[in-house]
Amino acid sequence: MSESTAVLAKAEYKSEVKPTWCPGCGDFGVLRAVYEAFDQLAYQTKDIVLVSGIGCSSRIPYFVSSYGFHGVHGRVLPVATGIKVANPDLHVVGMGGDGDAFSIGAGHLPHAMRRNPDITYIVMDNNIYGLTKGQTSPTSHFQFKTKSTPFGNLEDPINPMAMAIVCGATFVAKGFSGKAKELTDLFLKAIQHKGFSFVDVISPCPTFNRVDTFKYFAEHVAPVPDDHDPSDKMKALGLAYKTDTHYLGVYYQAERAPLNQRLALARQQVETDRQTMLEELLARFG
Amino acid sequence: MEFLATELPKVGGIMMQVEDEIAALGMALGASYAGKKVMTATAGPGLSLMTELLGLAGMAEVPVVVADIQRAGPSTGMPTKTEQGDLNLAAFGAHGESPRIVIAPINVEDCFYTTVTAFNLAERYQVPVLLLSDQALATRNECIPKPDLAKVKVFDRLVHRDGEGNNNYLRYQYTEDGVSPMALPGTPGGAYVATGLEHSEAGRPRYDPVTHTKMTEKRFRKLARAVADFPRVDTYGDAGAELGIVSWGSTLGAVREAVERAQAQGIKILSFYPRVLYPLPDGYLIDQLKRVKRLIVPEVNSQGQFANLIEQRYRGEVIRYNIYGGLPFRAGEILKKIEEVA
Repeated sequence: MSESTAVLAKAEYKSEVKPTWCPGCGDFGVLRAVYEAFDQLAYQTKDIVLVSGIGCSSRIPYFVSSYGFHGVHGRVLPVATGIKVANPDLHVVGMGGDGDAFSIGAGHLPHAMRRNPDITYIVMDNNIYGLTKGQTSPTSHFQFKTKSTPFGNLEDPINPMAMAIVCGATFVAKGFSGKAKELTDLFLKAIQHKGFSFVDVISPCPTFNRVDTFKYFAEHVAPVPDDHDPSDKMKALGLAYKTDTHYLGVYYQAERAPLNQRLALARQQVETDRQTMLEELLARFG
Repeated sequence: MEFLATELPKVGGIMMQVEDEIAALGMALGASYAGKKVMTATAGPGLSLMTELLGLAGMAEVPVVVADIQRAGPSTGMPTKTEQGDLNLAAFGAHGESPRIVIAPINVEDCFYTTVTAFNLAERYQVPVLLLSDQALATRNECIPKPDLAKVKVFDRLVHRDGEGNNNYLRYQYTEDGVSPMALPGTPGGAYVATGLEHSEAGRPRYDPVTHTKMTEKRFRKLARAVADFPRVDTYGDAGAELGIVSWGSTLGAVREAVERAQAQGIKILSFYPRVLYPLPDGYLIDQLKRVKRLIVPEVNSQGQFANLIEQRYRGEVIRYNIYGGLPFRAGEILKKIEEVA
């Protein structure tokens, strides 16, 4: 593919709406990697659905020329699951921030993960509430000072990677908005994975979080070690609990029949034609 | 749920039991957005949880049917007792102004036909439709005629098809009746973002006064037009009577028997049995109610929630008759009230 066709192809995924994010926002890198991944997969925009919740990052469907569902706060996963169940041919990608995913939406995470629909969930994690201008989030560190925690955060953060591994996600990976090529590769793997794929992306907020910055992460990230075995759940958990280094890459991957496949198997056992079913049903009233 | 879990897979359908009511409606909206007819069912507490997503369904114009089997509230209340206490929540439960239709079946047989009507209204007008049953109806055994499929008409939503619109597809296009063709994901040239934000005709975020005004009008225009597809209001009794009685939902049985017994005593009375409770556009219920001079509105709630809706458009005050002990009306109670005011 020549350079000019490549640029043209990517333009296909870009909508006419300009992102509302601040200059330097980590979400730009995520958006670029999303364009790039769709381009490499050669998906048609008509077959992609981006589902998001509420927050800066949840604006992302407007910036992509695919189908989108910009719903309410925290309900990305039920909506995305419903879309995939209704039409398994669609490529469904849920997107949003750490607040949407791990505060209000956290109750849906274990259930979506154990249900294993063939969808991808990309969380743009900046450890802060950005849209509302800087309050503590569920991934904010202990003692982190924000507008809502002037004396430092009194709570410990949750560990999204460990949570995903334990709750039964069949693909769990961590990316960094500052590493474009690696992030694109992760998205490619995640989207192609058959089952629920979760990518927690470090996506710094330069405006309201002056601690978890690009500079900090550039110095504290490392690729997942070459000898890591992603089929080993306990080793994956080990990586998730490393605090000194943020490992980037696939922590855990397993094969498990996705939701639509299981639903189809259940249907095959009883499927009949509509008329027979209706007649049998109505006969109960006759 | 247990019934549908057995029956739906036989015809390629799916029943899913999910973690909570918010997930249930969220999943239903996702499936409807992708083109399927879908419903979820709950009781009052679950409907409370669903209200934010009901607002989204109205805003994003996603058809869905939500059944609420009312029990005695508030809060956990008396979960095994009955009440008609959720009408306000069904009609108005969401922040902002979000359109929906509330419809109530009147007996066991009618649950079948009115559920079909609920789907037809949801699809035709791309709104959430709330189906209000209650404990007294849901747990009742009734002999009913075999459902007649010939009486059932099924309506599918207006869909934007491939090639229509020359790539200028507008999901939320202003139309005369407010209904805009819906593109289903997978359709070339139809890509749009279904959104809870106020939006342009193309579905892009838009906060200017003209857009919000026009879009609000578009969404409520659908309700005004929906009256054309409302099931007619059944009446029973004396056509020229000055005294009337209007019941909703499961109170039909007691009211109907009371009317017959009152007539046997020589009391002239006309009874009305509407199924759609909200909205009440011109040309629907109120015009008919104006045939009588005095109107009794019996309800199993303390506030007279339907009476309040009627009084907004009726000629004056109605005669409220409310019980709220957790039990349904008995015909004798209604008869006594009729005798009292006749």
